[in-house]
Order: sequence, then C-alpha cells, then structure tokens
Amino acid sequence: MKKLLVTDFDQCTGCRICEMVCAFFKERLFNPNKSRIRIIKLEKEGIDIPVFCQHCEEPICRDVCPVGALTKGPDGVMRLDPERCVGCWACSISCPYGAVSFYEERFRLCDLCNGDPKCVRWCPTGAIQFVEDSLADIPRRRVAAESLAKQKIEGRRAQMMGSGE
Amino acid sequence: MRLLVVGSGAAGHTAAFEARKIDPSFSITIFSEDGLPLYSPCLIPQYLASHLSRERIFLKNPEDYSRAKIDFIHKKVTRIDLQNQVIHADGGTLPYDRIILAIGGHAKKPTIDGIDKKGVFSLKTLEDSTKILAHLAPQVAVIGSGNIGIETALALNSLGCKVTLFEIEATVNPIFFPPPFSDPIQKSLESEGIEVVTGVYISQILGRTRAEGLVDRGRVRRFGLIINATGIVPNTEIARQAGLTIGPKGGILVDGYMKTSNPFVFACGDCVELSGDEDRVETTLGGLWPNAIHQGRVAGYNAANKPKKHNGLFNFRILKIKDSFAISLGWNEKDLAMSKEIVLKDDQPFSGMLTRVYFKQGRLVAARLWGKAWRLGPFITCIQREWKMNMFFHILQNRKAISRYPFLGQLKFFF
Repeated sequence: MKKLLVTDFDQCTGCRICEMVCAFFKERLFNPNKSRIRIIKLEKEGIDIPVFCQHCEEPICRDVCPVGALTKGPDGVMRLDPERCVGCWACSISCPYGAVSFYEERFRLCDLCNGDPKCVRWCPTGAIQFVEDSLADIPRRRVAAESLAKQKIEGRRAQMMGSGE
Repeated sequence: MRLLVVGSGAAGHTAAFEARKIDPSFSITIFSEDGLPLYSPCLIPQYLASHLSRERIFLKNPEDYSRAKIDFIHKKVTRIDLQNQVIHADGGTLPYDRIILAIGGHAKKPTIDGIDKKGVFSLKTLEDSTKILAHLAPQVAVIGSGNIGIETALALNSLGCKVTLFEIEATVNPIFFPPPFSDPIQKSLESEGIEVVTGVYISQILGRTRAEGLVDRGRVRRFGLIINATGIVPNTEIARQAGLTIGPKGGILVDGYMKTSNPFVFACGDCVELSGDEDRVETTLGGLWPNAIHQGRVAGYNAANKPKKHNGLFNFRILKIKDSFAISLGWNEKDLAMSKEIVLKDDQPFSGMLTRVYFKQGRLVAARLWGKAWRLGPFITCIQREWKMNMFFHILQNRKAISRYPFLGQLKFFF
C-alpha cells in the first residue's frame, strides 16, 4: 500500500522542528537550509504551511529534467540522483510546490526516508502524518464536500428568505 | 505485438521505455540513425564549453536496453509501407503492428547566400559539437540569437573565442522575450564579452571553398567559424513519403493522443505538430525537451493500448547567463502578438528582477521573468489547468482553500 505525507495546517505551529530533524538525519547538521521540508509562514493570515515533495502522479520536474536525474520508482516515490544532476535549476523552477530546494551547490528532494519519515516522528503536534493514500484523500474530499454544501445551504437560505417575505 | 520506434532521441526513448513498462510482452525495437545511446542535447553547449565530460551527456548504457528487453538497431529507416504494415530499413524489411515516429528535427537553413559552404555548422547533434570543436577559430560568428544561439555563444566565449552574435530582429531572442527583457539579456551578454549585433540581415557568407567571413551592413567581417542557430524544423521526409498528413507548419499532424492520420502510426517529439484546441484554433509545433518527454510518454501509452491524453504544451525555457535567469513560460511572443484580447501586467517585485504575465480573457497564458531563479511552478500549474484569475484570488483569500493549494501562497508576490 502506498503511503503519503499529509499535513493538517490547523495543527502546525510553525516551530520548524521538522526542518531541523530532516537536515540532521539527512546531513548530520542542524541547518534548516539543508532540509527537504520547509515551513512557509503566511504572516498576515497566520498560517504556517509545511512544504515538501508531493510525489505527484504526473511530476513536472521529471519531464523537464534534461538529464533524467529525477525518477519515480515503482513505489511512487520521487528520487533525485545527485550523480546525474547538472544543476540547471529546471526542476526547482517548475515545481508547483517549490519542493526541490537548493543550498550550497546541491539540490535536495524528499525521498520519504525510505518509508520512515523523521519529520513525522518528531512533529510535536502531529501536524505531519504519514498515512495510506486511501486515507490521505479524506481531507480533500471534505473540502470539496464543504464547498458543495455551501452552495446548497446558501441556495436553501435564499429560498427561505424568499418564501418568508 | 511488434512495436517499432523510429528515432532515438528523448521522445523515442521515453516512448519505448514507457511502452515496455505497460506491457512486458511487446517486442520493441528502436531504430537509431547515429547508433549512439540516448544523450541529452540540452547539455551539448555545456559539453562544448568543456564543463561536462562526454560520458556525462549520455543518459543510457547499452545494458539498459538489454535489461528492458528493447532491441537497439543502428539502421536508417528509409520507407514506411502503410498498406502492408512493413518498414524498409537499409535494404531489409520488417513487419510492424504499431510504429512510433520520433524522428526529431534538423537545423533550419536560412536564405543566406553561401550557407552550404564548409565551415558553417549548426548545433543540433553530438556529431555537430565534435565538428565545431575540431574547427575552433579565434573569431566566431553565431547567426541567430534564440536559446541555442545564446547558449552556443556563451559556451564558445568561455573557451576563449571572440564571439559575435547576429540577430535579424531588433532585439535579442525576440520569439521568447519582449523588449524590456531583451535589454538586460543583451547587456549581460555584452558584459560577458560577446559582441551582440541586432537588426542585421546577413546577405552573404564569403569564402571560396570554406566560409571565411560574412557581409554585415555592407562591411566585410572575417570569421574562422560560422554557426547557424536560426532554428529547428521538423523532419517529415519519411512521413511525407508514407502519405501521413503534414500540418500547415511543417510537422507531422497528431491529435491529443499522439495519433497521426494512420491509426497504427504514432508520432512524438520535435517532428510533430499538435492540432489546435478550442482556445487556439491553430496548430502548434512542440520542439522542447519537456514536451518531447511528455509526448513520448503519451505515445508510448497509446501505442501499448492504454489511452492517455496529452496535457497540452507547457513551453518552458530557461536561459542561464552567469547567475541570472531568463525564464519564458507558455505562449511565445509570436502567438501572443497574433492573438486578440491579451492583457499584460509588468512588475518589478525586487530590484534587478522583471516579471511580466499575460492574460487572455482572465486566463493566464504566458509569463516571462528575468532575475534570480524564482520558483515559477504555480504559474505552470495555472497555465496547464487553465485557471481564471478570480480563481486565484478566491484561493488566496480563503483560508481553507489555501491550505489545499499551499504553493499559491508564493504567488502573492506577483499580485
């Protein structure tokens, strides 16, 4: 069964522990610049969003890479081959999530820590979770259902207002 | 089932390897004209500048073919017989069930007197680059300032040649960048030591047996090496002979499933011309590495009887000059100029940065950028998904929605 990283933004406090943990387990350095997961803070809205590779079904980065350094394995996990990478920036510029990070002449991409993501294990609030992909769709379905329901409720309210007058 | 892939570029290889992934029982054969395993033509300027070794350019080993059980044959396909489902290659014939044409393109020959002389090279294949390296001269002229022209000029400049870049239009790289962008591009090229001459029609290439120079505004200039970088045109010779439909722009006409006018023949890569959609009635040529890969994948799926539709072209070009990037997304300037109802928006988010986005009926169709490597992924997604602008603003204002599309937060800088 495929597993995916999902985030619950309401839980994320923006503490950036995941960045530290990722950088430490991958490169033995507490340097957030070397992390594969980054927190984007939208200050005005008061939202913190963890950004990481979504391991897309149809990854743009794989198509634009001129050397085929980005591959999607049969397990659905994107991997970046640093031996092949020539540093052209195409993947980093084209990723919708900005998930391919660059620091100190090297590109980095989340590979889900071979099935045991350290960011999930160390997240203090449980904002990042590693779940089976059938479960990962539930929040998305909920958002879609809510927006559909909203139209219906508004329509019903308008009807009630109309009949009341 | 016997699947034959004609052409061994990026598109052909992707098609063959994707078809293999879908159906292990297929017999797959790749016909290669040069006999070289897959290499990346995007890296040739870097190879020319000796930033990369020759081995780094190759993306496949001979073992990769045997592991995937794909036959790799060094033969030139001369004719396709659609009636009898047979192809003719170097004397022999081979029956087929499906064909994928990925025959690529060749360098355009502009109407210049003496363009066929010895010493005038184009840069399309690895063979071309070895020829250029063998004929290096201290004075080099590059005709055409598209991406290939600029990258070649930069590569030869870093080898110590004195490079002059000629462009027929008034600005550098006119197809992908409007004037406010070509100015900084030209300035940074000049600061690298490249002489840029724009608005010049070169009428003649001089020299008795070998090219020795050219006539620039009535002035004779000496060059030991002349590079023709005026563009790429699709190869359609085999398709034309076989009787497949050729589009008005000179490519093999295909539909959204990469199918040509014959149901058993598919085409992908630089040689194809995509038929138009409801928004753009005109057909379009692809002609870029990402498009070739995507089309190859689509063709491979469909040839293996697994329907898959093309997502539409996303023309994505990066030009890296020193530490600055010139990025062009979506429609090119030619298409934008011909289309009505285009609204553009210029902006300078930070000093030294330039952005411009184009809308058609509220829909994002193209974007240009000069400056640092900005993450433009959201734009690509929006161009592909054909989102309207009010969709952006709806998402940007809605807390729930922004948590579903976190990348859109980055777009705030542009609006």
